[in-house]
Amino acid sequence: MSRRSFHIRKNLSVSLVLIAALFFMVSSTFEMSRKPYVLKIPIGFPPPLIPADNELTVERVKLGKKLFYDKILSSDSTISCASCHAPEFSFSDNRMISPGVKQVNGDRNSMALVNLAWSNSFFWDGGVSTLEMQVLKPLSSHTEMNMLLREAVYRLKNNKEYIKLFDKAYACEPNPNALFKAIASFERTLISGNSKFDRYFYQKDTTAFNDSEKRGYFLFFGNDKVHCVSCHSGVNFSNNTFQNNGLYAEYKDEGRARITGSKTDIGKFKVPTLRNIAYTSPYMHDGSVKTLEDIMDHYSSAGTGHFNASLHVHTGSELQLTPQDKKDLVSFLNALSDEEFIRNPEYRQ
Amino acid sequence: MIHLRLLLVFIGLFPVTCFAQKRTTAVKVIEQSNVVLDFTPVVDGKPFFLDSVYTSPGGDRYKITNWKFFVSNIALSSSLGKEHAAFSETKPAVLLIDFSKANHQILQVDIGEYTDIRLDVGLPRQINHTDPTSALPPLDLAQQDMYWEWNSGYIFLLIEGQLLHDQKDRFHFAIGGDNKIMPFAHGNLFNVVPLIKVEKGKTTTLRFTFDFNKLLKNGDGSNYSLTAEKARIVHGGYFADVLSMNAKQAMEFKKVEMR
Repeated sequence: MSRRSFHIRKNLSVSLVLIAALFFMVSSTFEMSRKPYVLKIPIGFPPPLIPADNELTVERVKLGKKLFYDKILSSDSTISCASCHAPEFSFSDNRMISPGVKQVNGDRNSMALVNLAWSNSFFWDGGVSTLEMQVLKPLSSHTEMNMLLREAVYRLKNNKEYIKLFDKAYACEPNPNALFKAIASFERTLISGNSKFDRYFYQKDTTAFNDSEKRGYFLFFGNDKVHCVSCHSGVNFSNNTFQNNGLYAEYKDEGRARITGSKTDIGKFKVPTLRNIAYTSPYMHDGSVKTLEDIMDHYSSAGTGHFNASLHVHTGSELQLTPQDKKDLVSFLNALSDEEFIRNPEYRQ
Repeated sequence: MIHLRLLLVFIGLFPVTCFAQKRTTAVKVIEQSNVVLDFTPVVDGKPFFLDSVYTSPGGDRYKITNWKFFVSNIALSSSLGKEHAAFSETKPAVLLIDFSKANHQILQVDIGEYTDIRLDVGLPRQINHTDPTSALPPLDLAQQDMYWEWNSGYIFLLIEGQLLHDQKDRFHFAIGGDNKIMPFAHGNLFNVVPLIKVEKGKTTTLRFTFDFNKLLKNGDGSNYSLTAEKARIVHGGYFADVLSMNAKQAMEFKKVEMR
């Protein structure tokens, strides 16, 4: 080998090493900004539903959380998502109907945001099928945040901090697609799975329940009398269906029929999760039922016999829960509370 | 060393030969020319203006403040050939007609003579369920009122206005959903004389009218009443079915112009 070719080879090797080092540094920096966010999946839960085009990363969740709590997304900058979905109420609130901007009331009770990564339809009527697109409704509704999407994006584009956060999370400037994805990312992290029920049922701790809670548990799951689990099943205590629970003889709010236009869907609403139900009063789609005891009275009396009423609400069968049954069922429902979830600082502003 | 040189020469020639191969493959290009679809809002056949006062077939005085609709699946055809779709920037055309603005979008259609035109008021299923946050205009969310925020999919036809009775009730027709697409066709495939000519270097304008009072005329001859709230605030169900049926007769093909 000549001396000249030796030098060429040497220089080439050095150049290649430098290029490799540079590539490594750039890719490391890039990867750091896209650090995966690892969900803590409770024992017994199936894998969550996460869209391939919105994988969870630390930066996306961070951005989503900031947006969730930021009043910049309402037309008069007075409310945020958290105004109606507060962590202390299991991301619901304690009002029948939540007021939007200028205290204008909507028409439905604020739903708890729990374990949304296991849900396949959103809102009381299930009108939207992705957590990402769900963001549009509260943002733009005149009775909620009353915000034009283009105005929201304009505000975010004029905010230096958001410009940086969007760039880190989605490598783009603020736009509707990334805005929706970021909020959905944060909402997917709201996981509740450490209640007394979880300790008893999934973690096999036989001492988790007291006697009343255990009796309530058997009534809830038992086939002979109540069988609430006909609808409130699965890890989220919802079979994700739409049911008419006989609350009214005539419904002002047509529920699922608003989406399908079908008479057979009048008065049907999504079966809500029961997790943390002790924190989410008042209940039902319109917040018309104040307490868990009132819920027991409703199901015990079998409702109004609406023509779409679910067979599971025992219409006309005179269920007649005893006072002890009601007390035990309420005890069981209270045992679905997950203090760790309610107090989790990661979820708070 | 000789082998190495030969290899380099071969590698050097490879793209050239491929390129030459490509150039020799003849592709028959069908020439296209300009077509404009012009929609004019009318009431009882007379010019319509937003915020002006009109009277419905049922005697209700009203004004309209917002009138928009999507048009898709636009195609021309003749008895002698296949159907030719209208394109916009190489994609099948999707138009958003907004009567508060001038609507003048030039489409591309294969040069030829046609006897029939068809279009849909609405959007095909595959477009109706794409992600609007990453869609291009006119399907992006800049037109936020044309997308259901509480439902999935686009609003195909949106008409909003106010009745000018004592109560001044507003009306809001928002018709959408895959089964509410409103097909419209005009012409006769078996016409000997072509209705529409698309010629090279010229622009063919197809003029349509959309008559709001015909929208309020039901197929059985009765009037669409705006008395009941359910007939005024329409998002779906029976009244959306009635209006989507009426829309087909409310749209008329008027004439062809060529320049």
